[in-house]
Amino acid sequence: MTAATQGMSAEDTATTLPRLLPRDGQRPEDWRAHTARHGRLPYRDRRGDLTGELEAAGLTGRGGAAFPVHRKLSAVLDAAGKRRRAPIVIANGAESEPASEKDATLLWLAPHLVLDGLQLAAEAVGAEQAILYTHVDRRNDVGRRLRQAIAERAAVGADRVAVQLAEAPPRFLSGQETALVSHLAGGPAIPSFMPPRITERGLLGAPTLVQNVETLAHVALIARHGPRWFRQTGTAAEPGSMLCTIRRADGTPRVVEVPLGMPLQSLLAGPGGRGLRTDQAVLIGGYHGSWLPAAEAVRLTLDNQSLGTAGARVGAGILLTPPPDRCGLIETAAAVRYLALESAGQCGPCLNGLPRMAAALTEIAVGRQRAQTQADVERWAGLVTGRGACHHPDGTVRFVRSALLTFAAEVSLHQRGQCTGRSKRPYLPIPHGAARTEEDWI
Amino acid sequence: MSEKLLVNPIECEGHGACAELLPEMIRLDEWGYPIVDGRPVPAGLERDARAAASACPTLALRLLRSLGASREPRQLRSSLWGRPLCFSWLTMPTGCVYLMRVAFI
Repeated sequence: MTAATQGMSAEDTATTLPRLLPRDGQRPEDWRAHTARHGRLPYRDRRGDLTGELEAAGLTGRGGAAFPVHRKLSAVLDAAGKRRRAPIVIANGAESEPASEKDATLLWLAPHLVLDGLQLAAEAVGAEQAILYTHVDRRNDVGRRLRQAIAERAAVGADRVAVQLAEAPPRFLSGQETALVSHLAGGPAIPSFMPPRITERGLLGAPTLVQNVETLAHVALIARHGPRWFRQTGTAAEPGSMLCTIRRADGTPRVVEVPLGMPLQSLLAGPGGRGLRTDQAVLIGGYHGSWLPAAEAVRLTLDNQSLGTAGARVGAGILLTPPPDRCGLIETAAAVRYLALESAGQCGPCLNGLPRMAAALTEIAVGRQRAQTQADVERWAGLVTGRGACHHPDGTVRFVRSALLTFAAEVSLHQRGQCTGRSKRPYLPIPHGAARTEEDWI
Repeated sequence: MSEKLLVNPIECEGHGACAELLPEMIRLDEWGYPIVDGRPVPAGLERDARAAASACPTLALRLLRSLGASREPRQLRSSLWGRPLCFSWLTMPTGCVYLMRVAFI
């Protein structure tokens, strides 16, 4: 243990956030700063059981699905043992929710923590190959930083498994696990049908562990400080901290690290509790998430137990509060159109249902809805739910239904030819350029 | 031994043969894609279910055999979806499979 970690006792670091991001804000941590703060990479060398520690810590995936990390690790270990095939570990930094910035921010500010986690996960499952999948070229600042970080680690011999960088296509589904595997195998980044699960048979047939980059950063810290330290923040059911992307009225993304179970009130309102009106709406969890009225959201806390009571989920920690001069229906219609265009178009219900829902929402948004429009949306929502190979239709339906509930008053205004939106400037970030040819998915 | 129907939504192209052969369990949505209820195939319909699965032009409809509650569903699924079975089904012409099934019964 280095002097730096000895000086920093568990109590000191327990409730002090940030854990993942640098303390002094925006200065990226190079190898020297990283080891000074966190100490050496604690390889287990068959002495400890990282999977057990992760189970005790209660760490769940921070990519959005909140799946228990130890269960994926065990599944990969089992499959590798049964089939005598070395697994592959992949750090997922595709971050395809357009409103999210937390993975890119983490990779920019603390790349070594993610790479540590990747090495430890690779050791835990006995992987011989590790891949970091993110927007290496498109976000070329992040790409440069990662190449630099990998070179720094090679110079001191920190890594036992070589890490390859792989480019994620700029598609909404490119971070979906089976799409990611398909892309890394040289195909388009489109989902495939399970079973078999990728933990059993993933990239090139090998048992494949895919973890979000933030999840791996938590793994790197749990390996150092232990499960009890991890549980000193967060709730008993959902321990630890998480990165959130918060966009208030001005739309500028701010990435913060907060404990799970934190009151949304303090996250949503600006400094001093100002800046959030009760008649505003809040989007929680991005475009596969839910709209909630601000009055309801401020009573909830940032964990799935609390958000679940309102039909929402933490997801990848995206919180947006559009200013009161935007119309939620116009914003939602634009985002649903984007989601429909981002469908891989493989499954009939998604291919047919999503564009129809998008068109109906546009009708509602521009005040041209017909008598049956809302009934149509509800019927299509029912028809697409649970009938895709991936959860794209389900997430889209959650988003659409929550919009029609939260903006119900606005819907009736639109029926009378009125709209509360005074500004036409789009608020929700929508990436340009839908996929036109197969090339756009590769 | 009970059986369950499962559609691979990527393979399914909405030909609708399954709904014709097994209307008791499969109906088509407004775009022609099958809506399959997840219940085990009831006694007396096994034959029709097998015919429906065999008649699918894209082999998107599968019958999953569940051998009681003792085995874990996930494990069972993966064993049934193992490559040898898939490939042998894929490489054989549909009609051939169908005839073999009929001959079996």
